[in-house]
Amino acid sequence: MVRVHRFAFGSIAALTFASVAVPALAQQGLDEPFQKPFREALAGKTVAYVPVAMNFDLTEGWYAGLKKELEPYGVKFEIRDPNWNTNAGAQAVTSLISEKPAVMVIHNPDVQTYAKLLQRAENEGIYVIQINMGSAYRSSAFVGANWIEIGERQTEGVIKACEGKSNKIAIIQGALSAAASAYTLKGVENVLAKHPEIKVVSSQAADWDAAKAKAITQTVLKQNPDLCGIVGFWDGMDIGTAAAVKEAGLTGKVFLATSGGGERKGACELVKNGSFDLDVSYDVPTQAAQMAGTIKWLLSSGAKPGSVKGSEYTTLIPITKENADSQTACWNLSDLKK
Amino acid sequence: MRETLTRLRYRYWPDHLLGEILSKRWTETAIPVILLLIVGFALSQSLEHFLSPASLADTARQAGEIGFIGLGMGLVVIVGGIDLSVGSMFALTDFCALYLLDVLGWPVPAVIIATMVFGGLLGAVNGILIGYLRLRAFITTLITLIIYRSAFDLLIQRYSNAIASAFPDIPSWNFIGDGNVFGIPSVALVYIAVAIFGHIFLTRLRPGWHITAIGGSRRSAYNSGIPVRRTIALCYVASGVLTSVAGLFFAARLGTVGGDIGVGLEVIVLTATVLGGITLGGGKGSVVKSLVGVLVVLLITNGLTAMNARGGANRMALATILLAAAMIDIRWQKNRTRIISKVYVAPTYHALPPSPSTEIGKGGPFEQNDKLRDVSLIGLGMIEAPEDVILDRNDVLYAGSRHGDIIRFFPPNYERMEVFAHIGGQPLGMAFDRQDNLYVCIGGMGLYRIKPDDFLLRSDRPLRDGRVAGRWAGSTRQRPHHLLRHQDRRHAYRAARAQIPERRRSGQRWAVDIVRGDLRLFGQTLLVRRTEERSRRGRDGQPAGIS
Repeated sequence: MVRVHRFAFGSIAALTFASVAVPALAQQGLDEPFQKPFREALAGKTVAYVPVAMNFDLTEGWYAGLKKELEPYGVKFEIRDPNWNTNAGAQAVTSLISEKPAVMVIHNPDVQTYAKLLQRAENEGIYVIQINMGSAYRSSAFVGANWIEIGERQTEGVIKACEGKSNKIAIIQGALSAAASAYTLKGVENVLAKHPEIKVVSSQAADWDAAKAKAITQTVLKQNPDLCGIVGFWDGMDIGTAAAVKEAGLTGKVFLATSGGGERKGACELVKNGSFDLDVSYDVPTQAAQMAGTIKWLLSSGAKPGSVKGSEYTTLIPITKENADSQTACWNLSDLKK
Repeated sequence: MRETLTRLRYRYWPDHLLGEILSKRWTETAIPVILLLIVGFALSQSLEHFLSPASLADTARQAGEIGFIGLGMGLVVIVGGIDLSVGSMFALTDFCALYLLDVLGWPVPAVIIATMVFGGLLGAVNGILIGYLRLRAFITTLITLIIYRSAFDLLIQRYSNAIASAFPDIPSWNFIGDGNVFGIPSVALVYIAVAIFGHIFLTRLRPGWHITAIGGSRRSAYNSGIPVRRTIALCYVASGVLTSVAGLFFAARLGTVGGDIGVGLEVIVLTATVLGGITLGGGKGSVVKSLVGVLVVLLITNGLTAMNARGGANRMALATILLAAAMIDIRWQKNRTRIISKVYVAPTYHALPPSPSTEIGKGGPFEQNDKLRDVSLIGLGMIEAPEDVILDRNDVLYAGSRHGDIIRFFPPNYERMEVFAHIGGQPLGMAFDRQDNLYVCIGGMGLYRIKPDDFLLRSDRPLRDGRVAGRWAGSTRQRPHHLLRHQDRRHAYRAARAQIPERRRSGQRWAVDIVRGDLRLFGQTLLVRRTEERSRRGRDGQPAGIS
């Protein structure tokens, strides 16, 4: 009996000494089995980006955001820049379909032009992500603003500012059949239906061009010097609208509501200096991150393109004088590019 | 090595064949076709999918659409005008087709016909203004460009959303837009058919000749009885119809009426037309040129977009290439005939043997003969016109001079000279006989003998007229008159005869009778000297000293 006790005591003591002498290891790590397929799914894949044009804050911001998220995984980017030309864009999409990238990120100039092409693309096995301006064809994913909501918010802002004034408003549309324009107009009409006292004196298309917007606004202001509000459909274009208002000396008297990507220079600064009274931002970095996430999900899921479709509407940030100074209301393009 | 190359070049280079090829009319398009090949090659190297059937089909589809407009523009340019309103007409006809199809719901054939008629009407506006009312083409089509574009803007304000929300799924419409026949797009097939007909029309049918004639010279065409106004108007109508066909295909392919449809299209089509070689002055052009130009412009634009070039670079590259191609093409057109004439001359190569040396001492057949280099000069500056020299028994040198003297030079240096005898005339040949008499043949006078000792001038016949120089023994004071003045001493003088006939250059035959002193012209006695008395007395009254 004593020999057993001594043997047990000795072994326990040996083990204790042995365990003290060895460094403290809790347990071995567990290899995550999902990383490898993910990396394999993303590495070497091509993402083709077809914006309406480059060289302005929205499209540059999306591109920078996508690159930041996807390039570390070995994703290759290609840009086809049609430079505001619808036909060239259609041509670019058509030639991309024959080149078969893994994903196409499409910014539609209008709801009709690329619709059939995108359908064809998904039939050929390319994931199509539509950003902000969608088409009549719903593809694998849509990431963008809810234009009808934007139109409603803008119009409500204008109507509130018009209380007690002349009740005349003007609408500066973008390109007529562009999603951003046509859907926003629907939102505007929704609200106007509830306010029959508001009169729309002008509703013209400026084709996203600031010079055209300025010319239209100048004419409208000359015809209706007592105009109380303008609903503009894009802040990049409404720089021209604001300039016309300023030239007529009516800054502050005419409520200019617009919408845009929310870049600091294009949105917050202009709200701060009074050019815009309301800028509904759809926050480009968030949209870019959402796109990147969708791409990662789609590529690693291996789903057949066209078999799964969904939408991601982004949250809107209305920028007014109250929050134009805050750090979170706007973003900087230079920060995004770093 | 260089010689071998030169020989190979001149023997085997096919100058003649090249000249023949370059003389063909279709080589006028050489530069645009070369440009097309270069662009196509460059693109196929830099883009992997360029030559894939899908990509080629797509290029063909786009080329077909713009090609139709190019055909219309080419036609108008050949007739001497220009049509700047094609972009706006394209947009309007596109709208018309989609409006009829989507909003009004017409069947596809009706839409096609109605759109083409509408396009024809738009073109007819241009045609009437330019053809019949004879307004300037440039400004008129510029104005219609603005009018049509404004009409388009107003119309899409109203109807664009209605069109945009429609998604027509009619098989025939889809076939027009996206259909293939054996891989060739429907547009391309229709374009090829129309292009072949257009080529035959322009080159083989009378209306086509009329169009080219009007473009060449409107006034001459009018004078030839060609219905100028009607033809010009119909050309603009054709331009409208062809543009509407392009609009139809575009509407079927994309189904959109965006605000920027057709903006800048007229510039692209003009670029293609000029690039292809259809001169803006009119009168020259063909369907092939239009097609080549369209293809080049399209390939460059699409190629640059596909190579990820940013928007501005596209236009810049197109403009640069247009500039370069236009410059080279103008030079080619101007200098083509000169180049042909240079290429056509096909000399062959013949290697000459090395030329023999002419240097002294080498002993070649053409060696310079300098045997007389070191001779000493006799009588330099002292004697004039010595026609002959002779040496007598004592090595004294005798020579005649143009003053009629016989001058002699004495050995050993032949520096001392004296007048041996004065005869007159031009002493020509001289000879000595065994008795040392010097016989001199005097041009214009005869054969004289000078005895060595007495210096008296003799003749073998008595000369009885005043010409005789024998009166002057050793004297050079008096000179004879020459009755017969020989202007040309090169005539051979046969002095040993009484009559010395000669044939002049004019074919006259003169004869001088030395004995009688007559001058005869072929059968006719012109001049007769009765000189017995004169010769007895001499010219100045001195007694004659003739024997």
